[in-house]
Order: sequence, then structure tokens, then C-alpha cells
Amino acid sequence: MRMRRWILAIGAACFGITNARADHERPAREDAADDDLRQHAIDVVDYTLTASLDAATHAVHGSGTIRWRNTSARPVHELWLHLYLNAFKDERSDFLRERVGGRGSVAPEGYGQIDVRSLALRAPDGGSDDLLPAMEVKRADSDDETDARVALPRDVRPDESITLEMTFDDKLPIVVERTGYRGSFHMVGQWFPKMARLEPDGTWAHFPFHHLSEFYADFGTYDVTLDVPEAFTIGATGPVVETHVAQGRRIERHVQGDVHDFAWTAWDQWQTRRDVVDGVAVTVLYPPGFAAVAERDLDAVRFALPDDSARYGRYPYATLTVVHPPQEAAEAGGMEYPTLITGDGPWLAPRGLLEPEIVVVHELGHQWFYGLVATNEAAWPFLDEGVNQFAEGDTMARWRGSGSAVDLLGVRVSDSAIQAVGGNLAARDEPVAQAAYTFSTGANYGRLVYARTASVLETLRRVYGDDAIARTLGRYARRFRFEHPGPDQFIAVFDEVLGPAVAATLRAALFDKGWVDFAVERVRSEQTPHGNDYESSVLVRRRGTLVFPVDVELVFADGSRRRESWDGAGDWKVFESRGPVALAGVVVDPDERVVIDASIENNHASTADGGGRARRTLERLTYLLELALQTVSP
Amino acid sequence: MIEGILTIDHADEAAGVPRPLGYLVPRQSARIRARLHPAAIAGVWAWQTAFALVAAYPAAALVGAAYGNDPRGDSPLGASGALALLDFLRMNVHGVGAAAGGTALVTIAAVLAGLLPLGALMTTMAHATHGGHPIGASRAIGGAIGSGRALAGLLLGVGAAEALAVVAAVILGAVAEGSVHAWLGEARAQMLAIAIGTVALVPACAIGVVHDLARAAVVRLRLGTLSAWIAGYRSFRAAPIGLAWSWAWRALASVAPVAVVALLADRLSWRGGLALATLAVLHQAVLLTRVALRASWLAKALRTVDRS
Repeated sequence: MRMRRWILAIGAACFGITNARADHERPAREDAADDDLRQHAIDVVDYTLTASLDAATHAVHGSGTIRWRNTSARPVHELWLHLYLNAFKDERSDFLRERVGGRGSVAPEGYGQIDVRSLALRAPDGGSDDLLPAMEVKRADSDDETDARVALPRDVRPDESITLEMTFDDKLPIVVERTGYRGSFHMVGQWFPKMARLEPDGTWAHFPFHHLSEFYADFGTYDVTLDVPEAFTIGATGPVVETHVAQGRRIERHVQGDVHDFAWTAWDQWQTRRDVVDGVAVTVLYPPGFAAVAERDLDAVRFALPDDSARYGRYPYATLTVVHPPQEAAEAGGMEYPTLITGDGPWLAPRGLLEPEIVVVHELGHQWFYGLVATNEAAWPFLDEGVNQFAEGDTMARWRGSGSAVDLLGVRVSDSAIQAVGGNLAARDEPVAQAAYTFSTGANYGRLVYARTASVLETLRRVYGDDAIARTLGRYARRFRFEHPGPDQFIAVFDEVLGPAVAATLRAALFDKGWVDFAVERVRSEQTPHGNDYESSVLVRRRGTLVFPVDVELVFADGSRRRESWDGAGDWKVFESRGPVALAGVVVDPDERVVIDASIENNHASTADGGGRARRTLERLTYLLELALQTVSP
Repeated sequence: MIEGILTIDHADEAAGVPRPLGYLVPRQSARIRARLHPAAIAGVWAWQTAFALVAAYPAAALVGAAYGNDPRGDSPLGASGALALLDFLRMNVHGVGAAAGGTALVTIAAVLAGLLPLGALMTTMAHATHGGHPIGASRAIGGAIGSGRALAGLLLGVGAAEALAVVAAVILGAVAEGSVHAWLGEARAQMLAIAIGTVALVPACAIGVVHDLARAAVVRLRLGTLSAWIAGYRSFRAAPIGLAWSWAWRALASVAPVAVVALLADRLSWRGGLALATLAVLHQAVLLTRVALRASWLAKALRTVDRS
């Protein structure tokens, strides 16, 4: 174990991760104490931007600078800029050609785009080199314009910094995929030319805006001055450091360090609710008439913010803005940006349907699994969406118990149960661990990246205990705070805390379509020829490729029960019993720990034929149907 | 043997007075009370329960196939968190679809066949023997069959009118929302739409009340479909507020036991055989109470057309 830590530490140091070695030498302290948490990210790219919103034409006129440092070990002769608003430019973009289902699959109501008007490299002598002629927006084999290559007039040496000067114009689309406008509502994301991330080995992690993929970028400081009509209220990444009104315009300057994106919203209808939660200034922006659901959003923050901070390391920012868009702009809902998240749900959402709470808890969780632990969302979406989906279900369960998704009229459905069943729908179709843009359908992306990852982790939590998983994910989140880990680093922490067998199981589940199905094959109980005892036996099989320890409960004719344990090794195990009472039946995994079990229906059997009776179901259905009949019949 | 089957004498339609039904005579108006006919009420309840059992059986059989040999019975499907229930639905999605189709067919049949117990109940309340005694089940059913064509005509005609009123309310609400959306914003426009839609549902409720009054006219006055509708409408017009209240308080009262037992069920359900039996009794008591409240309203309708 010590050797592994050293390898990790050396590897991390080689990849330009400062402080990593010292952290790895103190894994025990990583698990709980926040005193040693890294305070800041390595500043790689700083943006100083101004953006002026023309609310009538839904255009944003932007200008500013990008100061970027080459943190790799190799000289760089080109840059890659992401122009992601061009995903909505026309039907030839990769995003709109790849409609494989899910959000953004319907035809856009209105297109949007970004035009870079000028791009120059500031020269040391005070002059500048025009880079625009050298900017290659399209490739030979693609009409997509979201991933631009910029050839540099000279190499940028390791650790050298350069400054780009630019102006650009955005035409916002009608709100789609979390950006755009609807009436005077504006949600502005992916709106500026954004540097791709240069990996430590000198390769650029750049990619078009694919239909199913999200983003990846370096940390830095965003200093953004927003200029909107005076009547508009602004919500944005980071705190307001300057604000004034002049000539009918509201001007706000937001500055936030240690983040890797910046989003903002402006609307003349926003209502505002403020509170301080765990030392963080929380602002909820909501439409008129949405006060009740905004309060629910705030309640979710009140629970989840300190809870996530305790489990994954303290939230390091001073502000958090929750944007609850109107339902007519629901495409803007359910998204994460640094210090700004968007909620979802209608104003009249019943309190027993916890969609608003779940969305806020989910997006808030992304402040850790995407924001602070800044994995490559395009290459390994399970590391942000999947891990965070688990965090969501885990937090919701601590907050709302077994009714963490639905708690209505006596019906309680847990968030984790929905994930487990959703994940099983596609468990053997394709691997969880693959790039977002290689999934066959949007449905499978959702089932595998979100649901399957979450339910695999939930199974580990239930099997190995809440403390063990909290310690593992807490260590992972703290160790890789302000860093960009990959799947190997993620699984390595499980190896450290829970051992190689669990790490192997996790890897098989994520990379190799791993699955498991416990099944009772046979149950017998017969009286011995000479005496009153009964000899009983049960054959339980473990099908599939994943190994989990499991409880087996023997149920006897007198109602007594006895628990046996099976470590899950091997393909089958026989449980035997001899005693004065006959065996009535058996239940495998009676506490529903292995939530990814491919079928729960075959986890039980009885010695006697149960007659196929379902008394409770018959009683309940009869009642409900009779009620329905009384309501609609003459 | 079913006795007393008589078709409506259309020559007498205009008379508008209580008519003898074979050897049955109209009961004195003041004596038309639901509480005097517990057996008839129980009969309607039993009829509905039987249909509901048949409708529920396909789904219950599906569950039985999966959980019939679980030593815990089908209680895992009711466990808090619903993992087993959701897994069952995933594993049996096609079976559940087929069972739901069967249930829907039985339910539609039950709605149409429900005219028979309805007519029988109303006949029982509205008529007596020459000796003033309650009529028997067979005579009540005979009366219901005799009224069947008119009751079916009302169900189709008035049912369509009620459906149209509901659709109109929905459209009215949507139009209202669309017209004020830009001015009031999404939430307030929708609140206004719901308010307008709710108000617009009042005519649908009123049509429902007239429907029951028309049914009473069929049974009590032995009128045909159109004449009964006119008689029902006139009765309603004579005292709309009082009749609406009579209908509304019973409708509201029938919701209360459902809510109370739902709260109790949350504590009792899925915990052993005794809890299941207790819950079954409570559920059936709720259903019986609702039938009794419905009978009470129908008795009121019979008295009303009598007076009108």
C-alpha cells in the first residue's frame, strides 16, 4: 500500500500537481480533516471579459483577454479554442447531427452562434499578432464549428504565459441545452471562446460539442463585467465586486478564482431569495409565482451544502446562486456551473414529488464532482455524472429517508431504487466507462453513466457500509480537489480503502459490463427417516461477473429465521440445516444490499407451493379499482 | 326468475307523475330514504366489489407468479423505497401492459353494466309492493332492466355533454393562460387558468346533477330519455343551489373516509396477515360508505323529481 501511494504521489508530481505528494502521505487525515485541504487551484488560465446583453436582439457583445500558461512539459505551437455556442448554429453541427435521444434532441426553435471578430496574441513589445487569419474553425471532414485550432506565430515554452485579446459576438438560441433566451429570460452558458485544457503530457484535450458530452477545462480566475438593461437582475458565477447603474444599464463585475467556467443569467422578472448557509451567501433566483418552490430549493441547499462539505471537503467559495428557470425555459434547468446551478420543477409541484429538491441536490453535488474534482466530462462522463448521481441519492436518502424521490399518499420511492432499476435496463448493453459521444443512445447514456454508476456505488455502500464508502469518496474528493483525475485514480482510492477485490469489482462493473444475479435454484426440507428432525438444504447461485458478499435468510415453518453469510465466491453455494422445524423458504439478500442484482424476483423460494397468491396486491388493487369505478361509473 | 320487467309506457311520458311499475306502486315521497334499504346498498357494493376483483385479478396473478413462493408473500412489493416493486415492473413490463389492458376492458364493462345495479337501487327506493313492503331483489332488477334503455340513452347523451363541458373548461383555461401569459408571467397565468378552468367545470358538475335527476325521472316517473332529461333539467332549475349543495356535500363527504383510511393504511399496510385483514375491512367499509352516500343523493333526486 505504501508503494502504491508513492507511485501515485510521484505520478501526480510528474503531472504538475503541486502539493499532491504531501497529501498522499497523509491519507488518514484526508478522510475527515479539512485543515489540510488545498486552498487554491493551480492558476492556468485567467479570463478578463466584458459582456453586453442586447435584450431585444438576444445578442451578447463580448471582449476581453485570456491569459494562459503552458503548464505542460512541452512547447506549444497551437491553441485550441472551444466555440461551443456554434453547436446551435445550424443542422450541420455535431451536436445537432448526433440526435441520439435525450435533452436537445428536438429541432431547435431558433439557432444561435458565436462569431469571433478579432483574436490577437499580445506581443512582449506591446504590439500584437493577429491570430484570426490562422484560426481554423472547421476540419476537412466536418462542418462543425465548435472546436477551433489557432496556429501560433511562435512556440509557447513550458511555464511561459501568453495573453490573447479578443472580441466576439454571440447570437443566443431560443433556450436549448441550458443556454439561450425565452422572451426576456436569458441563460448564458458556453458563451465565450474558451481554452481547451492542455494535458500534462502536452496534448490538447479538445473536442467538439457533442450531443451527449459536457466539458473540460483548466482552473483559473474569471473577472467578468456584465452589462444588461437596468431593469434586469443578474445571477452569475462568483460574487459581485462592483455594481452600478448608468444610462439605463446595470453593470456588475463578478470575480471568481479557482473555477473553470463562467455562466450567467439576466431577466427582468427574477425574484430573489437570499440566505446564508454554512457561511456561504446563497441566492435563489426564481420567476414570479415560484416562491414556494424556491423555498424548497433553498431547503435542499440548507441540507445538502453542509452535508456535501462534510463528506467531500469544505465548499471553498463565498457564494452559491440557484437559478430556478420558468418551465417555459425548462431547457435551462438542471445544470451545473461553478458557484451557479440551475434547478427545475413547476411552481405547483406537489411536495411529495421531490423533483425540485433532487435537481438542486444533484447540481449542488456537481460543485464537487465536476467543479472541484474537474474530470474530463467528455471522455469519462461517469466520473462526474455517475459519481455525483450516487452522491445525490446518498444525500437525498440521509435527508428524506426511503421516500427520497416520491413520498406521496403513502407511496415511498427512493432515489437509489430508481437508479438501480434504470441501470439494470442497460447493464449488459455497453460499458459504463466510455466517452460520452460513443454511447449508442441518449437513453443508454443516462441509464449507464448516471444510473448504473450510482447503483454500483450504492451497492458497495450497502454491502461494505456507509462509513467505508464515505471515507473512500471523501478521500478521493479531497485528494483530487482542484485537479483532473481519471478513472485509474478513482479506482485506486477504492483499492486503498476497501482493497483490491473491491477495486476489481468496481472496475469490472464500470469497464466490462459487469453484472450479478443471485438466484435460489432449489430449496428442500425433508423429515429424517428415524426421528422428528428435518434436513433442509438450499442451493443459491451467483450468476454474472461481479462478486459481492450476501446474506441468505432461512425461514422456518414456525416463523423463526436464521441468517447465513456467503462471501459470494464461486458460482454457487449450498446452505444446509438440520433441526426440529421444517424449512419453509429462503430469501437471498433480504436487506436489498445488492441493488444491482439483475433480478430480485428469483431471490426467494419456498418449500411448499405458495399457490401464486398475492393477497396484499389483490386487496390493494381491488380497493383502488373499486374507488376508480365509483368515480367514473354511473 | 326476474319479476316485474316492464317497459316504459311512452304514452304516459307527458303525465309526469309517479307511475305504478306492474304490481309495484310508487313509494310515498317522504319514505324514499336510502337508510331504509341497506340490503340494496350492500348489493350495489357487492356488485362493484365483484367487478373490481375481476379487474384486479390479472395483475394480482402476475404478482403471484413472481412472489407467490416468497416466504414473505408479496410484502416486498410494498416495502418502503420500492426497489422490489420497480424491479418487478422492469422484469414484467409486457405482462403488466397486458394485465392493464385486461383491467381496462373489465372496468369499461363495469361502467356500462353499472346501470343495472343503479337502476335496481333506484327502483327499490322509489317503489314498494301494494302492501307497502320493500320490493325484492328480482323485482328491483326487473325494474332496472325496464329502465335500461332510457338510462343508457342518458348515459351516452349526458355523458357526452359532461365530457364536452370538461373539454371546454380545459380549453377555456388554456386560452386564458395563453392570453395573459406575457402580461402576468408563467405561474400567475397558470394560476388564473386553473381558477377559470375550475369555474368552467361547474357546468360539468351541474350536468352531472341534472343527469341524476333525469335518471330519477326515468325510474320514478317512467319517462323516456328526452322527457327524463327535460324533467331533470326543470327540477334542477327550480332549486339549483339547494340541489347543488345536496350533491356537493355528499361528494365531499365521500372523500373523507378515503383520506382517513389512507392515513391508517400507511401504518397498517404490509405488516402481517392481521394488518392485511384489518385494512381490507377498512377499505371495504370506505367503499360501502361511499355507496351509501351515493344512494342518499339518488334518494334525494327521486324525491325532487317527485315534487317537481
